[in-house]
Amino acid sequence: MDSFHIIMEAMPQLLNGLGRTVEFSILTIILASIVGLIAALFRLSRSHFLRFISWIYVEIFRGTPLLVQLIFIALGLPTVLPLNDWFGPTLYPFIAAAIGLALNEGAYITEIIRAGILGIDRGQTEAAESIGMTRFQTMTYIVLPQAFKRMIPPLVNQFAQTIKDTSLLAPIAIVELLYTGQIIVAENFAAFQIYGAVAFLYLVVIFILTQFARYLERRLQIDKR
Amino acid sequence: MNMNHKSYLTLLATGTLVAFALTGCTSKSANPPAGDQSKKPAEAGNQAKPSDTNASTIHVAADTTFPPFESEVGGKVQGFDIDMINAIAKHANLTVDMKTMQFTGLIPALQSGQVDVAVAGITVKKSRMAAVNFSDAYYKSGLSVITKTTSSVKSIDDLKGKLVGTKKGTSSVDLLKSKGITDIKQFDNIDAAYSALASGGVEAVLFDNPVNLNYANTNKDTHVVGGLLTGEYYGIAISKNKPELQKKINDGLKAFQDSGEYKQLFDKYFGGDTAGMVQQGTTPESVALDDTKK
Repeated sequence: MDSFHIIMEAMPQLLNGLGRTVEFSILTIILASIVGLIAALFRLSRSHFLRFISWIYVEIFRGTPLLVQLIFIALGLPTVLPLNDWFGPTLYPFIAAAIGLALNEGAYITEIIRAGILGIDRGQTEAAESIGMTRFQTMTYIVLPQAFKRMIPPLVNQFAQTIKDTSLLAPIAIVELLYTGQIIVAENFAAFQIYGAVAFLYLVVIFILTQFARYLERRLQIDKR
Repeated sequence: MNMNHKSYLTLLATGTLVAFALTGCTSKSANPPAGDQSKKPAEAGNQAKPSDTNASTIHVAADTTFPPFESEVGGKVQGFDIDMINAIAKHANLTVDMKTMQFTGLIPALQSGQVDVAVAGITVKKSRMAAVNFSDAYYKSGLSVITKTTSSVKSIDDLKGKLVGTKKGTSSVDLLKSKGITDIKQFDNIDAAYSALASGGVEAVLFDNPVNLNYANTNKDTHVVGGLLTGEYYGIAISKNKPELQKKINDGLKAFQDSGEYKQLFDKYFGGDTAGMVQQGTTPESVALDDTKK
């Protein structure tokens, strides 16, 4: 059987795995953005305590490998806590995967958002406060909208990384794209064709993401500013 | 604003990279790396001593998460398979260069010529025989179900609708599928499946009986239920790029079985239980599992 047919035969199964990869990517991007925004605002708040919490969070999740975090949460934690009983053994690995990915990517997004906010000229904040805006209003109406545009390129970078990082779910037995590829190779041993197809499918998804980001940047006319 | 110009460049770069990768990969299989992989110092102690200076080196891959056949204790690769391949190499006048990799990587590594031989309790299966050569069988094994002593599971028939763990891409997966069991969690290593069993992540683990027994022996809250499910045989997988190696290994295996070292390994690793012992010259063709029909 030639390479084309090997790949075509495996394609339905691979697309199924790709579906799971895309689901996890979208879920993680949403959760991580929420976590990242909260942690960034904590980091910039006036409260020592909140700043400390955020700092510890970022240091821990940026300072340990994602694969270790995932294995620890999915396989390590349930040995001391009855997590599989609480959530059910089918659901818990998905929760573990989503939490692990979201917290890890969230740590990087925290820094991106923090940098974006700090990059807005102080004069903007001072002007907003001089016309009587509260700190909350200043942040939501003045600083964040401007900061968001600047954050798009690094965020897209991070989102592309997130999509690739979902491949680290394969060792904890989540059936995503790489896992599906490994299963197929274990049956047909066509490592070149199948892993090539797996790599290509990741490329396609990330290409779609980056093209969307380009469109977004053009709409917001970032380079005109 | 030269967006269009830029996107052509992107496409061109992508195309170049893909072409590069394609050519790079095909030429790689032609010349296997001659020991360029960094060797772990700990493994050096496990190699058979070359009995003469002309002895050729064979690159052997093992997956060290398969006790008592293979495991890594204190950074040292050891087990039944390791002792055996070293003994065979000595008889066949070969030098062993050992490296470890994941089970699912073994056959691709043999196909690409990255290694010549793989020992990992590899079940002789028809689908695998299409991809690699096998030596004569050296161990008669079978699959069994291991579960918590508190579990209601008494045999494989009780596993339907329950989550079952096993190792990725092994013959256990084929058996589960043939029994209509679809909730299979395939882990990279069997350790991960056992730890899922311990934490309630799976109801039972289906895997090679000797490894299950080994685990049940050290974890008293688990037990093997339902006896042996299949008869299957382990063989040494040999790269099809080195057809001459099959005869050398088979001759070495016969000498190893004759010399009494074979029996000694059963004493050493299975407490003298010789249930897995195989007759000399049991050809892979005669014992291969037929997994080619879907």
